[in-house]
Amino acid sequence: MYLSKIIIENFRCFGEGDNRFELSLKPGLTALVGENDAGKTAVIDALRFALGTTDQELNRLEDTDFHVRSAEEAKQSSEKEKDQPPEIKITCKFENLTDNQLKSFIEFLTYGKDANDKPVLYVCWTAKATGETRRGRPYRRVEVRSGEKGEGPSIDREVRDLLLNATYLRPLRDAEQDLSSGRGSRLSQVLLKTEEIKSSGQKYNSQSEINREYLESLNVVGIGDLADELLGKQKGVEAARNVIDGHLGTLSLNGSNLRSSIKVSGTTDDPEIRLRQILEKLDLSLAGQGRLGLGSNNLLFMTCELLLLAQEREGNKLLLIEEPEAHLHPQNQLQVIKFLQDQASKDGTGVQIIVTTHSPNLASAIKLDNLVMISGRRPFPLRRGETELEESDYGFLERFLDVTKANLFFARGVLIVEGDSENILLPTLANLLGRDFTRDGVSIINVGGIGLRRYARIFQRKNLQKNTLIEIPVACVTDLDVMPDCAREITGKSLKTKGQLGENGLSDKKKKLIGKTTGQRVKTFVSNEWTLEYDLAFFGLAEDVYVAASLAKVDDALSQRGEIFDQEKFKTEHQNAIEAFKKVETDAKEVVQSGNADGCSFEEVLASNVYALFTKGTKASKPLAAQYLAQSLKEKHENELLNSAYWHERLPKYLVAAIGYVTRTTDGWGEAKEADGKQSNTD
Amino acid sequence: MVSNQIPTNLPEVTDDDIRWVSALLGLKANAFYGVDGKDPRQDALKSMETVDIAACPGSGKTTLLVAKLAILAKKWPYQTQGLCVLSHTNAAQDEIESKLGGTAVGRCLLSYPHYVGTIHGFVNKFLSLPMLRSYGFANIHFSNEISGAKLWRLSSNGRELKSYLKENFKKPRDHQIAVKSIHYVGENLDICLKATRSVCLRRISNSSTFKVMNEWKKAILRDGFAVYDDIIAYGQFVLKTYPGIEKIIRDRFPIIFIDEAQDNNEEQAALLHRIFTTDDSPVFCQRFGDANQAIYNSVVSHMKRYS
Repeated sequence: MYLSKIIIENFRCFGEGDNRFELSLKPGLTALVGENDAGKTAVIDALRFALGTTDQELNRLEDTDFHVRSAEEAKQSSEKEKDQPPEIKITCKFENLTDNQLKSFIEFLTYGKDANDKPVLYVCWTAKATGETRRGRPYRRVEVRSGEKGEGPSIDREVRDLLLNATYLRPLRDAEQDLSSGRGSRLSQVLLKTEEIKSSGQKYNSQSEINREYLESLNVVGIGDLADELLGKQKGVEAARNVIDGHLGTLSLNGSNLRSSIKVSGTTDDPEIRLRQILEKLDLSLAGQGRLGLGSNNLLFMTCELLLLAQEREGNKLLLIEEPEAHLHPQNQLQVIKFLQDQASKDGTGVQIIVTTHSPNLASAIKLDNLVMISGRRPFPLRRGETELEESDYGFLERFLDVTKANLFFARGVLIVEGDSENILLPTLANLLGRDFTRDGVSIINVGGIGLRRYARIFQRKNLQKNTLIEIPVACVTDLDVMPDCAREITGKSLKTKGQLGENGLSDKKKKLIGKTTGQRVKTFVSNEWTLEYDLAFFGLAEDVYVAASLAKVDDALSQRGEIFDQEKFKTEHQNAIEAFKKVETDAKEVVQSGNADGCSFEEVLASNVYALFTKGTKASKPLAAQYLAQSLKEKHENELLNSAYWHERLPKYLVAAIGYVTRTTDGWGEAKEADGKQSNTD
Repeated sequence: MVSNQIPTNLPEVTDDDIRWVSALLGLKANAFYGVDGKDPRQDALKSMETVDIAACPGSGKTTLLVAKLAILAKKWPYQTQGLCVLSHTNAAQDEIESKLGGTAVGRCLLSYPHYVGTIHGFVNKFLSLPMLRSYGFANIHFSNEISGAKLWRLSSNGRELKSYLKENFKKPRDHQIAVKSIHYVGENLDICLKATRSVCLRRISNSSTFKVMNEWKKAILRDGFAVYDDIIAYGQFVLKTYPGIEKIIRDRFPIIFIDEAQDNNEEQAALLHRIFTTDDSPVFCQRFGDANQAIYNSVVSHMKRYS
């Protein structure tokens, strides 16, 4: 049996009706990913309340566990509901019960309309504030019932503990404590459940001849018995015991003869209890190591839990792990998640695992089919059939969605860009415009030229219905790749030109590019003119781009020769570049005035000449130039005390619009909205 | 899905257990042994096969049953399989409550995974109610009185079925009795009316009279009411609709005890037979009944008798 659906109402951040939390699950591993406060822990805690946990840790319900209606929700709820204190309701649906489980749950089952549907089990946990106080605490009526709406018979605590308890591993747990010996230690439980512990070996018989072979044939209790016997005969122990007995003798009343006994484990004769007591004295640690770090202990601990679960016959094989990344270094994290993924997908074990994580590292290693993004308190499974991703996208993303890109699962806004230059420049440009990607939780995903659209489709839902839209703004930034007519000669590139396409052709091409990857909250922003560097030069940063590209060229040349680009050289080269730009600017003016510019404007000629640094001769490196440009723009902004209005005028419109779009969680800007309207026709 | 192997090693009753239970019930240590030590009740306690235990009324059958249940509950090795104790009345349940109520085995017997109660209660708990709940009818009360009154009102005090009633029931005062008794019968949920005589309409007849009465039944079910006689019919309906349920119930209850077996009517006996003893995997069934009353209808073939 596996948990196939969970519905949470009026619990913490989750409301009721349209605002409730509802998630369908598949067998195997499910990873809940999302930013902090998205509701990941609330989901896990809801399951802990509803099913109970094997560690039997008391889960006291607090006032804060009841959902507080927001003003908007209060508006939606009817008059009658308003007066009622909210009732927490957590519904778990279990499917695919084995015959063995069916027989345990007959009276609680729910049948399908079709006789061929296997019966399912609903567990419905409710908590209602009664307004009464008992023993100084607010009294809440908590019920666990079966039936889809909780209308079935109540499920007793014993039944829940026996058959439904989930295994829960808290974040930042003290694994060492959990693994060490002691009453009810996890290790002793694992060992007790291991069939061979009981079945292998023979009892100790004091009449037998003691040789090595005999010693090795003993069972666990037998080893304990032998140790007891040896300890009883050991001189030192006997001496100590005599001393104790001496004292006992003086203390005991007439007639009662107290005598001490020193044994390995307890004094009971019940072999079951004796076995447990002996096992509880065992510690688990890694072979050949001293004291271990938390990380390795955590690994050991998780292994133990999985071992226990896999052997479970009657109970619920649901394992809840919060933040398994705790204490583990990145490589270990990957190992752990792969291990969990494998264990959960293995046939026969039937173990179901739900993990929460905010580690991009983990998220990148989990198959999209197993990922559920939690955003805006809603779950968005990314498995096949739920997103606009196509079959080939799943294969592609499994290979290419690495840790640097897995940030997108935790972002409040996503910028998907083609290359390094955008990746380097856009955060700086956002700062110039008064926005901050870090503060706004915007992630830039650099796809390195391939699969831009595939990443965007992660955020597009199939069969979009009410409340199933992912509200995260996603901007794809891409190049138009059409050049002005004069650029053919100036840059030596041979793309289609504006003149060749004509006005209609140009707008068609733009529309096509936008249309391909726009829809729901995903929007495509296409460069207004040609490409990033060209557009920057075109709209007002011609000198800055020229200087940055020149410096990049020098930097490259120097480092090839093994020389250092020191402060002195930098100053000279910087000055040289400014001088050179002045000449380029004058030349461009002349070309346009003399009418030899193929119908291009001054800005087009100038920008083409700037862009030529990246295309002709020893080409300037784009990422390197982007770094110099970012640095110089930042300095300019700070030194000259410029405001965002200044930059609004001088930055390419498509970038301004894209930055405005992904950061509009705080507020939007007029231009951005206007640009949105122009750019997108399918919003 | 491959079913997990379900164990059916029933615990063994020893002389020690019998001494223990005698003390628990406040009886003499040799209460079940007789003077010569050859008391058949001893064999009855120890037998773990399908048997009929018949004795004269008043000879302490129920005490014998309670003693046996106490021993089995104490030694019961399974957590999700239980003992099933069925009786015509709540006699067995009352007896357990009064004699074992304060003890651990008593509490254990009356809770999961065991069942102690009436046959109707059993069919309700494990078949009818889960099915009705799944179809959207929750919290059903079985009350002939309320259901009857509601049916009579729905029929506009009999006016709607006037010709049908006249045709089938000569005396006018039978009409009300008949309408109030409208109940389902059999696995197809046919409808029957019962007054001085009983008349039935098959579901497959699809007659307009059937449809009318069926709608009334559904209407009062939506209100949460049904009559006692419906329970067994619903149980049969579930067995027909979801084949395999018998097997699941047998897995849960590897042994059943039927108290006052002589009081079961044919329909109940047939249903129990269908659940527990048909096909190739019957469970162990021990029936406790009066020796001098004919109670059996050829259900169990290999029986022993103690008298």
